[in-house]
Amino acid sequence: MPKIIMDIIRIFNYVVFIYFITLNLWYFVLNILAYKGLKKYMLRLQVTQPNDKLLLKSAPPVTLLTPAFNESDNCVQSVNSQLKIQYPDMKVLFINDGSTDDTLEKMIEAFKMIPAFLPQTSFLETQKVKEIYQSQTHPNLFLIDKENGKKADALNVGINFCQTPLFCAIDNDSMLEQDSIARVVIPFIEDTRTIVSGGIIRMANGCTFEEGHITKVDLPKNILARFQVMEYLRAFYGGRLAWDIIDASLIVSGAFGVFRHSVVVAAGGYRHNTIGEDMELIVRLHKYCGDHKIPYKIRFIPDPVAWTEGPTTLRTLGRQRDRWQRGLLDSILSNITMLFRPRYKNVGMIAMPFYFIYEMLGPLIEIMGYMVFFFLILIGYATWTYVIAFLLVAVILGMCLSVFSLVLEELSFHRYPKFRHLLNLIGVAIIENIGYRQLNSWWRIKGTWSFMRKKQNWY
Amino acid sequence: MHGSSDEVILIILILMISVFFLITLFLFMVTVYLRISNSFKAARLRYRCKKWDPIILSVMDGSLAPVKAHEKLKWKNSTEYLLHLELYIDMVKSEEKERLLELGRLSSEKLHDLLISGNRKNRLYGVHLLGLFHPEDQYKYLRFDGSDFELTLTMIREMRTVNDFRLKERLVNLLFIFKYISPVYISNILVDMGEDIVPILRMLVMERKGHPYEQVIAIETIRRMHYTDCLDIAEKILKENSNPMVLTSYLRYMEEMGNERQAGMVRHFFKHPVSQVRMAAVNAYLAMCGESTPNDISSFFNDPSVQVAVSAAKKLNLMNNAPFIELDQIDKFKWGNIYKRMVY
Repeated sequence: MPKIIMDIIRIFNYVVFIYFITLNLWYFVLNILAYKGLKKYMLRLQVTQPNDKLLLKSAPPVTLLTPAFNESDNCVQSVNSQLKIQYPDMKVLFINDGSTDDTLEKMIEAFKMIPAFLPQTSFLETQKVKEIYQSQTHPNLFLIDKENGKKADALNVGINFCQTPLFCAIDNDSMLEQDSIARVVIPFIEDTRTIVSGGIIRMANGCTFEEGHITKVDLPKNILARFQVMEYLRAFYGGRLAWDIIDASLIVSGAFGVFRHSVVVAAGGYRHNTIGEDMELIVRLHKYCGDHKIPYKIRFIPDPVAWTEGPTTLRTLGRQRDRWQRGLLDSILSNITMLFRPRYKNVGMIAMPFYFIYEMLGPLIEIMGYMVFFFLILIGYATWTYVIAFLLVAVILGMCLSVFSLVLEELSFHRYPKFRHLLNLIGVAIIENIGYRQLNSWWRIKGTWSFMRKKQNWY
Repeated sequence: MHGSSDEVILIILILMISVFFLITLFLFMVTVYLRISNSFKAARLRYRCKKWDPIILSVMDGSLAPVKAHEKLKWKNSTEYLLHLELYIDMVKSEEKERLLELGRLSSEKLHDLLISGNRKNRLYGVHLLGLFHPEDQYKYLRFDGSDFELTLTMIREMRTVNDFRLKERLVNLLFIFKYISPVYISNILVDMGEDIVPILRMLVMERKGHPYEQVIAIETIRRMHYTDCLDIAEKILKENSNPMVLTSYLRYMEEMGNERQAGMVRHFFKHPVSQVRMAAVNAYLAMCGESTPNDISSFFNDPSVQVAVSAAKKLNLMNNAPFIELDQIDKFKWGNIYKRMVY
C-alpha cells in the first residue's frame, strides 16, 4: 500500500486516539463537577424543603402548556394528573393541535368545557386558533383548539395565551410528581436572572402509576428500556448537572422545562422548521441574552422529576435517536456563530465547541475508527492486540462512566429502592457498552445523514 | 500497526485498561457500599425513631415534662434527632408546639457545636435548627459574613421571626447583599419579621434612591403589611423617582392603600414609556377613584401594550361601573375586542 495512504491512516488513528482520550477525560471532569454539585444540592435539600411555606408563598404563577395531537387515549388522565399537582397558582393550557381523533370531544365532555375568552398576551406567528374553552369544573383549565401546526406551533399558541410570567412546557405523556413544579421554580425565586429551569426525566417503564402519579418505582423488564434508564442517569447526572454548574446548559428537556414568558417571546418563541425545538430554543435563548447583554441563568435541577415512557423496540428507539441527532445538528448549526465567542461565555467557549466536536462529529469519528481498524486488520497492517486493546479501553471507560452515574444516584435520590435494582443497573452499565452504545452511534450517524438530506419528519 | 510510536500507544492503552478497570471496580464497590450504608442508615433511623416517638408524643400531649423526657431520650445530641423532632413541630400548633420546642431547646449544646463547627454542612444544620428552636443564648454564635449565599439566606430565613430587633436589623442589611433574589421572596421574609421593622422599611423607601431594588422590596413589604406609613410621601416618591420598578411598586401600593385625594397624582403616568408603570398607574387610579371617564377608557384601550388593556379590563369588570360608551366608539379602540369581551 502506498506510503502516503498509510501515513493518512496513521494520522487518522492518532486523531481518533486523541479524540477518544479527550472525550472521556472531559466526561470525567463533568462527572466530578456533577459530584460536587450534587453533594451541595443534597445538603441544601435537608434545610430547604420545596414545600417550605415561605417558598410556596413566593412562588410565581405558572401555566402548564400541554400540546397534544391525537391523544384521545390518555388526554383526560394526563390532564387530571396535572390538575392534582400541588402548586399555589397554576393554570393548565391544553392545546389541541388539530387532532383528527376525538381528543377535543373527550376533553370537552370530561371537563365540562364551554367557550371562553382568554386575552392574547403575545403575538408569535402560529396556525389559526379556532376556539378557546374553559372548564366549568376546573376554572384554571383551558383548552385551545387550533389548526394543526406541529408541536412548536402548538407551544407558541400556548405562549400567546399564557397569562403568567412563567410557563412549563410538558409533553402530554409525561407525568409530573406532585411537587415537581414547586421544586423546579425554586431557581426563579432565588435568582431572578433565571430564564429557564429544567428537571430530570426518568423512565416510567416498569413503574406503577395511579391517577397519573407514581406509586411504585421499578426497573423495566424490557432490556432496551433498562439501557435507557442507565443512559438517562448518565445524561442527567454526568451531563446536565455538570453543565449547569459551569453555567453552560445547552439542553432542557422538552418533556419538562419552565420558561420565563417575556424572554421566550422576545427571542421569537419556538421555531417551526426544526425537529429539535426544545434544544434549539435553549441555544437561541443563550444567543439572544448574549447578544443583548442580558444577565441570565439557565438551570438544571436534579430533583423535580417527570416520568416518561421510553421506546421498547429497536425501530422506535432508533427513530427517536435519529430525531434527536437531527435536532442537535440543527440547533448547533443554526447557531454556529456562537462558537468560540467570548460574549457567550462558557456556552460559546466550552459547551458549543464540545457539542460540535464530540456530540455532532463523535458518532462519525467513532464509526470511521471502527471501520479503519477492521480494514487495517484485513490488510495485515494492524494486529488484533491493538484493536482489542482499543476496544477494551472504550468499553471499560464507558462502564466507568456508567458506574460513576450510579454512584451519583446512590449519593442523591436512589429512586430504585431495592438492592436487586442496583445489581441490575450495574449489570446494565457493563453490557450496554457492548453493542448498545455502538448501535446508538449508528443511529446517530443515520440521523446525521437524514439531516444532510434535509429530512424534517418526526416519524 | 507498526513502529515504536504505535508500541507507545499500545502501552498507553494497556495502562488505561488497567487504571480504568481498577477505577471501575472501585466505583462499583463504592456504589454497593453506599447502598448498604444508606440502607443501614435508614434502618438505624427507623430504629431510633421507634424509641423517640413515644417520648415525643408524651411530651406533645403533656403527660411527660420536657425535662424528664430529655433525660429519657437516647441519641438526643444528634442532628438526626433534632430533624426528626422538626417533623413533629411542623405538624402541631400552640401548646403542643411550645412543649416540643422546649424539648428541642434542651439540646442547645448540640446546636452550639453545630454553629461553631468548621464544617459548612454542620453550620447549615445549626442555622436551620437555630431558626426552629430559637434558643436565645445561641444567637451570638451566628456568623454574619454574607459571603456564603446558601448559609446567609438560610440564616435570614430561619431567624426572621426572632424577637430581637438588633438581630433583625442585621438580617435586613444582609438580605440586600444578594441583588438577584426574588423581591417577592425577600418581601415575604420581611413581612414575617413583623411590624417593628416598618421604620427601617420607610427609611429605605425615602433614603435609598440609588438602590431601586431595596426601595422596591421595602415598598412591596409595606404594602403586604397593609401599612399606610408611606402614603404621606407619595408626591415626593412619584416626583423624585424615575426608576420604573420603583414607580410600579409604589403605584401598586397606592392601588391598595391610597385614597381618592391621591388619584390625581397618578394620571400623568398613563403616558409613561414603560408599560408596567402605565399598567400600575391605571390600576391605582381606578382603585382610588372608583370610577372613570370615557376619555380614560379610550386611553387605556388604545394603549400600545395589550397588558395595560387587559389589566384595565379586569379592574373595570370587578368594579362593575364602567362609563357608557357607544359600540362604534369601542370598535375604534385598539383593544376594543378586549373591552367588549371582558367589560361590555
